[in-house]
Amino acid sequence: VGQSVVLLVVILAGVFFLVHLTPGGPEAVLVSNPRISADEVQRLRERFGLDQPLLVQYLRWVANAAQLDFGRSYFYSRPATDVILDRLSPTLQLGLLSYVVALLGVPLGIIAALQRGRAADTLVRLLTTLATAVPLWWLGLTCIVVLNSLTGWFPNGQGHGSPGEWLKYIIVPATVLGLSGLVTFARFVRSGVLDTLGEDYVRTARAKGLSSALVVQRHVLRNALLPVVTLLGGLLPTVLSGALVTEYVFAWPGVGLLFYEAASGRDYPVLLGVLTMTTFATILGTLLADVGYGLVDPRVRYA
Amino acid sequence: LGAFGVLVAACTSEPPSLPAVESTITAAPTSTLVPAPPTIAPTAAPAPPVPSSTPAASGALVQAALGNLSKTLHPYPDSASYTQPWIDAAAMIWGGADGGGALLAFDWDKLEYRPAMATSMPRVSADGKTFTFTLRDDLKWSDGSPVMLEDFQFAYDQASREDNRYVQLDLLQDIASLRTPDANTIEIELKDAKPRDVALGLVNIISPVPKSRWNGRSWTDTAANPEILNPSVVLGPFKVQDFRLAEQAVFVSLDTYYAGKARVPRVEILANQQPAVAYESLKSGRANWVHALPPAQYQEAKANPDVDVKEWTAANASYRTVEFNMTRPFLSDKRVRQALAYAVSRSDLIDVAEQGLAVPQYSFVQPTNSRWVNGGVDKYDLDLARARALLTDAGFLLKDGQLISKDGAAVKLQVLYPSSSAPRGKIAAYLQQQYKLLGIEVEVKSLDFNAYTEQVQNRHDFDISLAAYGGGSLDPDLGPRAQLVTNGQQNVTGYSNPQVDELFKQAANELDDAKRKQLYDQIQTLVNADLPSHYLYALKAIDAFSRKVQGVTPRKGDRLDYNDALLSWSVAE
Repeated sequence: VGQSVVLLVVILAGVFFLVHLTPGGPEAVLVSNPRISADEVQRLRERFGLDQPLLVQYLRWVANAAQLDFGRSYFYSRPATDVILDRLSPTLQLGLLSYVVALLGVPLGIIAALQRGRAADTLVRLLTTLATAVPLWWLGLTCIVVLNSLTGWFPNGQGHGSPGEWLKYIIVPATVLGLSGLVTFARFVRSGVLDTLGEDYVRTARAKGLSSALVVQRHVLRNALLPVVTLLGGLLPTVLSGALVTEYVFAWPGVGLLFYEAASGRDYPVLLGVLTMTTFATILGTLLADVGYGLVDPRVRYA
Repeated sequence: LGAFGVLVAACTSEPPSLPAVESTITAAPTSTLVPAPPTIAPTAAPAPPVPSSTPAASGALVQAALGNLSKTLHPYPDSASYTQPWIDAAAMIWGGADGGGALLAFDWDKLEYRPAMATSMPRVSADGKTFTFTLRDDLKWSDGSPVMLEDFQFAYDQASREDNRYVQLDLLQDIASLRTPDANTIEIELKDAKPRDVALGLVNIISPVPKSRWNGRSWTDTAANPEILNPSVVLGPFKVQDFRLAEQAVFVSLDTYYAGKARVPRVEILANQQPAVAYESLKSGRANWVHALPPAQYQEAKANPDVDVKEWTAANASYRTVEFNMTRPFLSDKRVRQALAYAVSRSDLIDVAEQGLAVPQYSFVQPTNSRWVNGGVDKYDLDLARARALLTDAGFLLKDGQLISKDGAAVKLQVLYPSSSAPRGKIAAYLQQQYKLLGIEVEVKSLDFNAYTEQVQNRHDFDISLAAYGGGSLDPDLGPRAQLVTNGQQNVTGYSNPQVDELFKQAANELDDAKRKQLYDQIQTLVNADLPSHYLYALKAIDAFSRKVQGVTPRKGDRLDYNDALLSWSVAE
């Protein structure tokens, strides 16, 4: 935990300075409007605190961020925390459902491994290779063209009202977002199961006369699924911070889209708020994965 | 996301996988400062006929918008909120200055002002400083209460306060006073007499705010004043029903608007639609209007029998220019700049970069701005022989395909443009090819929009910048002037010509419009001879509609819904 805190502080310091040293601050675009005078731009800089030395800005930001105050968004004129929280719910919905989609990779991987060399295995391998090769944004656009324009079944945006309406809007972006996780799970699980199937203790179990189903359930899956725990932790940042490309393509009003907007407009309070949350989620995910791994695999604990 | 974010913010532009969205440097969005006719008739024509008071049945108008929604619905936004989405939203709920939400409205058919909330054009005092308006007696807020003179006074008093951060405060400060001598009269006095165009724009800034709702509440704090984000009482033809910032806005029509009730009962704006997706939404019927259809979808839309494509070149169209940094030794020579201009074919460029959707532009005034354009300036059409002769005349030598300066060094240039603009990327590639024919090695460089603006506008660190201007006002004093006078706010080229400065000064103070036109003609001639910027072309505006949307007619402005035009649109069920 101590290491995680240090890591968080170091990363956020780096992010803060990188973001602020990027050419073209939030006021850069305003200069191009002849109606906005140079004096007004200076007033804005003072209002945003950008006229202070960078170190002072950083120390002030750290002091406030420690109290979860990330300042006021330049363009929303509201606390950055409120702006981010407004977008968190759509992102959580999308992230969690994409998590469910990704987990479908586990049974697919098991089936592929148990049916090694047969049609089912070939099909799973073909699909996972295709899904890896296809860019996410292209897949998203294709889904929109086919499932929205041609059939009209799954409109983009966020659905409100009945659960059916909600599902109609979210299912396509969630599937597209979860696809890379699904592929990863399927490949890891397939590989893990195949490795485990060749272990001596599996052969011993079979020699003892256990049925195939019991062998797989008791001896293969328990061991083959261990790496999946690590992957589950790694997905946490995606669930919390949104998926930029997916949200952009599907006009999903989540944190990813907000982040893109904040990065483009140099809305530092929002940008740093999202990055802090993402960094925290990444470190927390890794920590949970480590702890979880120890819980499911006693060998790690003893080591 | 974190690592990616740092990349986005710190390095270049949008992620490679995200299709580009055009960004432009624009003049002030069209609000109040727009030109008007040469003379002020004390009793001008009354407001045009209002739409039917008994609207025919119509479905909802659904716009797939390429960008964000406005982050505020404040009637007097600050500079960070003064965006095109704000203008669009303000037109719906506050009427807007191009609609009927101010004393006057700018008529985008006639390119002149007409009365809106005033019964007639203002009476003007002999010294040209005091403008007297008579208010219509049928003005109502959305709650049915009458619009009072005190609502104007309240708005003026609040917006004039520096701590209330109104974006056009500097213009309000040109107003000496606002008085309400009797129950339906407003007198606005300017500190100094101004040309008619500018004066009417100034006095027309003030639009009312419902004092009964806003009085005693914060003008700037969204937490303390919910009216800022969700106004409960509005003036325009629509009120807000649902406003989800990142998602969609829904407006419903009102029958209290004095110019009539809209035929469409509801307008929905779907936010943040990716360009290709916006068009797909139109095809699927989810939306029935795409404003500013990207050229990539133009051909398909034109061929689609279900889609009605409206295309026109507005008088205030966006236009593209090649800006030369005149502080660079090579580009400081007028003959060199002229040679570079002669290397370009506008028609080829329009085909290459804009799929033919633009018209050539030869000066800092758009060709369609009939009010101020000078059609007799040098055009600099493609002429490579002349370009080479000019370079030779300037002391450069073409040797082994390379242009060599007097000191023996090969000439190299860098062309800079914002990566968010795909057409400007194509222009850069075209220039690279054409300048190569003159022996000039060109490096093309793109930056994300803020970084580009910082490098060009603030640091002036570039050789050639590909810029886009336009939109907003037609008056040269309110846009191009800032680009061309010495040390002007948008003067990125370092251009300085005392004669041009003096002429702009004279034009800004000339009360006779015909004489002003002569002055601007002269400036256009001078600037084109000096050529700090090579003006390329004005872009066509393209909107796409479902065939179900009826009553839409392009005007001379860059928006179809200006002037309350939206009131007469309808959508077949």
